[in-house]
Amino acid sequence: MNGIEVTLISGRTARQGIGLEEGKTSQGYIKSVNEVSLCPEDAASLGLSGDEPVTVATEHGSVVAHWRVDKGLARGTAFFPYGPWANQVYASSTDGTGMPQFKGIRATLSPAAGGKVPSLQEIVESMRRAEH
Amino acid sequence: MKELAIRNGYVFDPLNGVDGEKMDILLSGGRVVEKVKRGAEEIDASGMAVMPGGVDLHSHIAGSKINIGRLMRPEDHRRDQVPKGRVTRSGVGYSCPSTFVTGYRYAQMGYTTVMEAAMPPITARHVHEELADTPIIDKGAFTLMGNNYFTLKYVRDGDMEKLKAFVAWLLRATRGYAVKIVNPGGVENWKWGRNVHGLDGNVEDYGITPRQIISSLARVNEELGLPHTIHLHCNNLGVPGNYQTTIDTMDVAKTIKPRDERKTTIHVVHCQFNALAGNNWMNVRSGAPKIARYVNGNPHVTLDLGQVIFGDTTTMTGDGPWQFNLWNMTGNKWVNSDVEMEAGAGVVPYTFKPNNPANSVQWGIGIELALLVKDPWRVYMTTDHPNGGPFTHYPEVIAWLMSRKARTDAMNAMNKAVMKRTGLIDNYREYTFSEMAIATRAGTARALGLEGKGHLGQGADADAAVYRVNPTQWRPSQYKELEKAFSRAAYTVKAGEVVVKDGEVVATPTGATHWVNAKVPEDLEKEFIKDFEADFRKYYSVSLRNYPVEDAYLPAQRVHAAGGASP
Amino acid sequence: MKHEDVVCPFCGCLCDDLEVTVEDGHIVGVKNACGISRSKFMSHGLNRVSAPTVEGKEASLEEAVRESVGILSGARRPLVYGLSSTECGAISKAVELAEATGGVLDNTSSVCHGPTILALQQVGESKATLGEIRNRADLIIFWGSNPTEAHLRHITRYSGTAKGMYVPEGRKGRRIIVVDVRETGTSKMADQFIKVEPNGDFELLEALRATVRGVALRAEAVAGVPMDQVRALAEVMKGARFGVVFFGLGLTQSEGRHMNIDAAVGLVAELNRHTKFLLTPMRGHYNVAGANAVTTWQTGYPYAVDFSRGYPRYNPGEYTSVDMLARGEADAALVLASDPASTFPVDAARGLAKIPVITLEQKITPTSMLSRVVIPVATAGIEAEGTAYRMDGVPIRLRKLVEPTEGVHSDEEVLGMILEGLKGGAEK
Repeated sequence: MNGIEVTLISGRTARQGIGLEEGKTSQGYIKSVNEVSLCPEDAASLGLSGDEPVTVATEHGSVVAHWRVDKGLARGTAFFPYGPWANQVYASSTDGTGMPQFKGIRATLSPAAGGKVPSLQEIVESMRRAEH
Repeated sequence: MKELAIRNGYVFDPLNGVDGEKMDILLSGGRVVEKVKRGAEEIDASGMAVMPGGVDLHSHIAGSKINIGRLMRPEDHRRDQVPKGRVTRSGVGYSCPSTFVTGYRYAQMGYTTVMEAAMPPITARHVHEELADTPIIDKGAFTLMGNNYFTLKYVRDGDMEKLKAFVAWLLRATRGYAVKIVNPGGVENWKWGRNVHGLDGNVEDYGITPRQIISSLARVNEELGLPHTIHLHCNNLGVPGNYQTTIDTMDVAKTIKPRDERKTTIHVVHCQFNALAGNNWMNVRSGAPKIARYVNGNPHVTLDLGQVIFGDTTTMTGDGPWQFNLWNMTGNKWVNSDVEMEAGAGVVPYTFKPNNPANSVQWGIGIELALLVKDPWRVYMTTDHPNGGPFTHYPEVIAWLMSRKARTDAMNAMNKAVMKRTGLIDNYREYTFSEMAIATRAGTARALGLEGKGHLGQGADADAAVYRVNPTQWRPSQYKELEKAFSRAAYTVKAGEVVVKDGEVVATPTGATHWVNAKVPEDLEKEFIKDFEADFRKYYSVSLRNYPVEDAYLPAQRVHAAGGASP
Repeated sequence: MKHEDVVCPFCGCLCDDLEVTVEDGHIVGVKNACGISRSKFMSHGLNRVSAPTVEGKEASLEEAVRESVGILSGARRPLVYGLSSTECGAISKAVELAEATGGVLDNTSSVCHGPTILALQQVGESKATLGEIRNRADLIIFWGSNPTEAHLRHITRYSGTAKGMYVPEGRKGRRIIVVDVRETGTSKMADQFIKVEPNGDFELLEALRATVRGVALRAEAVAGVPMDQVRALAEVMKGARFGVVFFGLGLTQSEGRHMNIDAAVGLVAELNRHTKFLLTPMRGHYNVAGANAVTTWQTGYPYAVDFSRGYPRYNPGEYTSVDMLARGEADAALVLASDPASTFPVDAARGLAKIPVITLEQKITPTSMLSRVVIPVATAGIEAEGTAYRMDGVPIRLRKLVEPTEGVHSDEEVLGMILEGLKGGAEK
């Protein structure tokens, strides 16, 4: 099944704040940042249901994440809380400002049939492996 | 105990009546003493001028305002980069120097005490954190009070007793040294985007006038017996024609009874900016003669210059509406920073240009004030760093004051308006070494009420400067040499330790922060606190418990008692 | 024991009215706190780094410090990064350490309000302390900021619903407008929500500025906002008695970055010709303002400072951490009070994984997992005292409420030990 084009926005959430004060290795934190939010219509058009995760892909990279519905989002806009999962898809280019672009990125969402959301350890391991 | 003998210099110690006599200055245990033991470290000052360490009573060196200047002006830093040395930290200089560099450069010029001229109470910790990071020199900060809610409220209510209790409490809470007033009432009105115009303008929401604020604070200042008078940035700063406001303002404090041991009741800061005659920037001319005439006839006034230095600098004052005007005039970048319940500030870069008629007149006004005020004990050299220009230009100002040739050469290189619209060309006065010592240390120390500073008598703080210039041979035509000598002291001694040798920093001890422990009777204190707490709770965004500055912020402190005439 | 008026070391609001109960050296209760703050105080003991480690193996503090000194003195281009969630004493030591190693010093503002600082350096800003806004503002605009998720007590303490001297009625006395690309908790409590297209903020701000100036724009809509609405908003802004724009990362992290802030500053400056208007960045970490302040008074520059020539140089885009790491330029890093492996885009995070990293941390993080040396430190504001600067620049003293675990020191102390080691080495 094909994906849909969205504008991806990152940001803080209170859940993430509460989670990170428990610790980055706590379930509270991990669950608060390994899921992407989208509007009900977009979720329906992707045929998402149940626990099946989604793949978030940009020109730069992709990651498998959980998803949830947020009625406050417009069609074609997705929200991904700051964190190690979201950062898999952002580019490190800063256009000479020091600041990468974390908001307003073109991305594709698609069902991750059979995909698995990586664990925090797996993400850290993948960073390490990149050195070889 | 560390001992030091400065031998055979020509000593200028005006507070003790010493005028260029060849003598030894002996230092032990951080004080000037009569004798030192054999084997004490010696400085050979033969053929050189020896003075007490310099005392600057008005400079912006620490706190949120200067830090905004530093933050907004990377282009300013790039022309003056300071590498790390053997005993010194790296940093930047020019108009907004980093804290370390500020300490080094004052010491290199032979200055050992500097007062930060504007401390907003709620950010007092910031001022003290920066002062703690300013090495070598002793320092202090003046607490902003002229637009404080509680000042305005007690003036409105005519409650001088509570005002007195408040001033004392706030000095203690902020570890402040003096009462600073900036454009009284104007900064409060600026919080709605407006200003006051003149001494009798209306301070909105309170129905009072700047005149009332000034007279009330001046009176309370003296009744508390604070070491320094009120330290006042007048209304109408930078408005051509403002010399009249300045004179009227000085007159407000005329009938105030000064504390014991002091005859003055008001210090007018960076007077150049408030000594403008004419009615617009096109025809602006010097109001210095009129102001000097008033000052010469009225012993209750002191002032400092706010001398203009040509070049690019960063203006920063607690006068928000003035900085807004300056932004409108220049179109340069503008930071405005209002402080709840208390104060405000603005920062705008500005370039004083020698070919600009108004700027050349401003340059002339500063020098003219210094030359026309007859009593050297009541007019002090400042550039209102960095408003008129960076403090590192003091040696040039010294040259202009001590050498008519220096200022004639300077005038020949600037717009002719300085010749036509100031009286400078007809003024032949040249400061003597002794007068220069008064304008830069003895007079300022006395104005501040800093008893251990500004002189080299027995028991004085062991702060001294040795300049490589022979006062018996120097001629005003050699002003470049003078400039060089005052730029790089042969020796600067701080608390008995050599901190600068041949213009280079050789040691970086921690200087003390001076503050005034002012007090009112206990029952008055209690009554005041009750009223104060209630309003504080309602209107401040911090808790009262987290407001006063803790001792942790003053790694070395010197506490001064308030005293003198009680009512 | 009850501690009153305790300062919360989480976000830039730096609320200082908490009541914390300590029993037997442990925090057992906290009042007046938001959810995140409660979590910070109540969970500060969870998931802690239990002991110093070198290469993943437990080590003594001395060994960890020695290894750190070795890494830093062997590095040609070390990066010192983080700083924003610790107190100013530690920040000061970090500056000295970066200077001593001839390295690069950066703090988290390079990925939060760095663009705000760049704009300030171009055009300035008009700001005030939060109490000033609480006491006077009758118009509050949240632009690309969402305090209901990031600064949970901002609205009740300082802005929307707070009562002030000239706004005694609180919420009813203020008009609240939210400009954002999506509906948020904040937009739901606002009087008006203006939805701007993603990356359209610059256009909308400039259109508003032109309209305030009296320029008639011929467009029908700007960045998805109908021109009628733009004109109406301009009138509301001009008609306010005292207005403020609280802006967030919605402006700094989207396309245009500092140019968005430049436009916002320009709009607010223009409005000051009509009424009183201010803007204030919603700073995230509780002491990121302090990291900028200390670094500025010591070096002249707020972040992205290079000491390789012996004097400080400043160049965001070059000496900023994401760029340094993504380019593979840094050959060692010391991280404190931050978790760049989680917060940086993946290429920069990988850059970190390639080099020896020293991390000073309270808790286990992806950065500490990647580090060669990990040294546990005390939590400032709970286990150590010091100064923090609120988002508006008001400095408040953090308190020490409980003792850290034995053998655990403050950031400042550990940095001091490393610095001593470096100086000792230099003397040999």
